[in-house]
Amino acid sequence: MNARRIGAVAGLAVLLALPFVTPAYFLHLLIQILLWGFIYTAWSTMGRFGLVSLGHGAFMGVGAYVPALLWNYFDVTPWLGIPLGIVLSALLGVIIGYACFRLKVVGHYFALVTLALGQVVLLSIVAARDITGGSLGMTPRSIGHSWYALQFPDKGYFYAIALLVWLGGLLVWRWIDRGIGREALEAISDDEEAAAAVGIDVTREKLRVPPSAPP
Amino acid sequence: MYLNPESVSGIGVSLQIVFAAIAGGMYAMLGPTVGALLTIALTEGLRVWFGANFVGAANAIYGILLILFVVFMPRGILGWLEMARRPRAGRAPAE
Repeated sequence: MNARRIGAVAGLAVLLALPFVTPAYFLHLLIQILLWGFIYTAWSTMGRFGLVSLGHGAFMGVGAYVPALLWNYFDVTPWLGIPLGIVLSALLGVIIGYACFRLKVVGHYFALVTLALGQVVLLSIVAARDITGGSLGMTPRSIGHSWYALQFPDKGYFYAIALLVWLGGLLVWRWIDRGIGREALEAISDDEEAAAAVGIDVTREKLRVPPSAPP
Repeated sequence: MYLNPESVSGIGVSLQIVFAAIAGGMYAMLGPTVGALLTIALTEGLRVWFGANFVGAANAIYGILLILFVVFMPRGILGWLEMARRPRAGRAPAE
């Protein structure tokens, strides 16, 4: 038990020290690993209860595009856009989760529903070409170093953000793992709604990162 | 900073999420992170060593590995390590 705690503290210390000694390229990789680690952790909060989602990209899409579009068109700071993106993608998850839960869509069928959901979001983004740039993608307007816009010249900032987001994901995972709902979730894989809501919430949070981290 | 529908919502991304979480071990807290380490290292390794010659190779490898993991290591790398550490406990209850 104690050894675990020491291990965790030591691991965290190493993670905090890494950006000061790592070349830029590897720092970039570390950021990617933390961000994707966060996304995978979010997926696992559902996946471990048998709710296999093949369309988590749907939530990433909503989470990434909502803040980016709000920023480009309405000058809304990502500090507002990201929470809104989280809320919207969580809402999407609850809607899908609720429908599947009511209709007892589980197992392979649940996977198919989520697969379709991912495609719906993907095609919607492509179809809304005038706004989203379609399959050509889009670039959030750059205004240089700014906390307001969450734009930084240095990878170190993104590393810190990615680290926090990742730790947040682990906390949520732990919260579910220790929570009273876990047995219930394991017993009845019916509880898609709750799991989806939580799992997606997490996924959404990471969305702030696609706009900020990729080159 | 660039957003592309295929790179955030594409089927490839969604499947990669599934692969990495299963490979790392979705029943352990750090399992998915190990999965991330694996996928990023694999993608970057292929890119550095083969450049543009094997576009899509990572996905093919993910597919093969995914099958192998599901068959031989359904609890992922961390789950497997955990079980290897206390063999007499046998299979963990309730997958």
